[in-house]
Amino acid sequence: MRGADLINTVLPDELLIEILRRVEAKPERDACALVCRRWRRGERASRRAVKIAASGAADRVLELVVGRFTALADVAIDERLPSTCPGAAVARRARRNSIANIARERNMSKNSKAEENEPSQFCFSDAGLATLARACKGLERLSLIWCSAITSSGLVTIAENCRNLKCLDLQGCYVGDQGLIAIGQNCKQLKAMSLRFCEGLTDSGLVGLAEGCGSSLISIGIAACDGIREASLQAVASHCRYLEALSLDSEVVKTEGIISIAQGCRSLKALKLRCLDVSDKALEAVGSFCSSLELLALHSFDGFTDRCLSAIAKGCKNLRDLSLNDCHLLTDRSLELLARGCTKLTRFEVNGCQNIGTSGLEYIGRFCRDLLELDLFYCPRIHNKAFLEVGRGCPRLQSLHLVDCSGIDDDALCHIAQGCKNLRKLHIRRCNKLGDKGFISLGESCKFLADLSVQFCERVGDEALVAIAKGCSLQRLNVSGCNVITGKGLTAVARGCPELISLDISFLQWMGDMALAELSGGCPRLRSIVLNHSQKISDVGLAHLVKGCSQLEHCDMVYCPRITAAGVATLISSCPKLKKVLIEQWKVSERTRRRAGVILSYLCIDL
Amino acid sequence: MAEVVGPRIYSCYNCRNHVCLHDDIISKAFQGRHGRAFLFSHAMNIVVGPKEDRQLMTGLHTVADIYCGDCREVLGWKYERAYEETQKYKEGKFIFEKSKITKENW
Repeated sequence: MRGADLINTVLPDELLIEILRRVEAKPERDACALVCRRWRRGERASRRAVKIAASGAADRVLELVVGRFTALADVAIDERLPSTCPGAAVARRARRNSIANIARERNMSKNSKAEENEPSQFCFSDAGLATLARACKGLERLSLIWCSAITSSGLVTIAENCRNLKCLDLQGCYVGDQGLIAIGQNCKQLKAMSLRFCEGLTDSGLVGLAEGCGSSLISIGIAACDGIREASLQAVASHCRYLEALSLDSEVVKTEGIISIAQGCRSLKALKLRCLDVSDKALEAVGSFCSSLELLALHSFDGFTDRCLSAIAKGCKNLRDLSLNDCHLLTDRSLELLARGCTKLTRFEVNGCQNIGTSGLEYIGRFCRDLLELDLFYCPRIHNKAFLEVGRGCPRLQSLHLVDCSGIDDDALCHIAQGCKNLRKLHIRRCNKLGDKGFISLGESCKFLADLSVQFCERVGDEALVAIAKGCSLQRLNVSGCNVITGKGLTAVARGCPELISLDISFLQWMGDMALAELSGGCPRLRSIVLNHSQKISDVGLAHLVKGCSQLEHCDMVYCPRITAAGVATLISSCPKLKKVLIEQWKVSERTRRRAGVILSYLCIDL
Repeated sequence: MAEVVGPRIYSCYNCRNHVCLHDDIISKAFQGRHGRAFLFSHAMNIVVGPKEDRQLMTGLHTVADIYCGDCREVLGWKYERAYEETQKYKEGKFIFEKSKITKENW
């Protein structure tokens, strides 16, 4: 080609690999690999991260992958990923045949998925781990998600070969203690460890790990591993002095375990607990010893009273992020102490704490000037007055999330609008007293609002959208289930928000084709649209939409009685960037399926 | 790394409304109208419809259809009364059809 780039020919291979190493997104790497043979070689030599499906002929796929990509450092093997690699296609056919045989033998007439009968050669096993261990000595991150055939011996091979391992994530694997002990003995640079649903583990495994990697571990996560109890936590407390993050979801751990962690890991910055058998004393210890704590998340703590939050308020002055879920015994009194004590709070979440009400939130509003994000889920006892204080006291608020707050109406939003001019994100669901008035105030005051989601609020209508569209340049909008919204509101949005990227107008019975025509004219940057359960939208509307919205990447349109196969074909042929379409299987013609099968997802049940 | 802590929630597959918790599952061996179904001890954010008598595979029961609180999609039913001693344990519990619920981020 004349005038071809000169730099590519003089660039040495090592520099090319360095440049390609900085390309991070997978689609972009894939594109680079298609440029020419030299770039393909360079890309293969520099790719760091790969994700492989655990089902199918995963061992064979892994062997091929590590042979091709020689610089892998981050490998994830996940049973939830679909196995679409060629090796897996062979395995799928074999599996289908074996299932057919089993079905014939058992005389079943239904076409059921017999995943429980899958022979173990059809999923990732220790042999695959051994291949990985030998080929990627520089492995730094390893994730094994629901790999049911993996055992300790596979993990031992990894431990012995991959001494640079920094991050290990095991979920749903029947690994035993030997595996963890080996990791502890060999991987002295391990920083992060996450264990979830690992039923084969007991205390000795985690004790071995803590003894071996204690000085390097910074983050530990344990969930639903009932064999892990006090002894493990004591080991973590004695050996992991630099631990910064701990997440614990366990029904068998007791108060003493948490107390020892608090005493031993004084650098703790993030603590997330969901433990049914723990009491106030645990958090009192955290308050006394962990003064660097920045993030605290408590779930389902029926053993907790106001004493624990007052201890936190006294001791953890650096607290930035607090999340209280289902803590039924906490009252407004503890919120007062917390607000006065932790004035640096930037994120506050309350979920289902029935005894927290208006005055508690008022204190937060009065004392936490730096609040950026406020999330309130199922708080029927919080009323408008609380938002007056939040509006006055938290001028930096950027994100507000309200679900099932039946005690608030338009006045609350007006208060927020007056004071929180920096609001960027507002998500509301099922707050059925809200009407248009609050949104009209928001449209007048909150110029930076970019992400608005109002779902299933029956009284929010067109006037609200008109006001928002006039004042704010939205990027994401979701109004699903707000039944009184019609094309008028959406037309205002189409004309007033040219930067719109994502739109959800599902469950709107009055939304018609005209709205899609307006969108086509006003929102050329639209990438994602959800139209499910639209009674009036038809093929005509789709035809209008694709004229202007050629950047569309994602479209969900199930349960739309007036959309037919013709509309689907129009959409697919007009939008070259489409990546995912959700539609009923019977609405896809054979020609469309041939053209675009890979991006189509079907409704999982055909009623 | 994935979020480690928090209850495992199921949502309505239509509108992602949170309807039940994995920890409340009593049995996974039920048959609904469209395939497999689970028996839960609790449900949230749903609407219970009118009671009616139905002849199910296990005998005569009084059941009430349950609907998603937001999008009103039928998700299963609630057992109000069972007329045989062996079926009494189902009273007050909820059936959710597997195809109508989806896991919420887990």
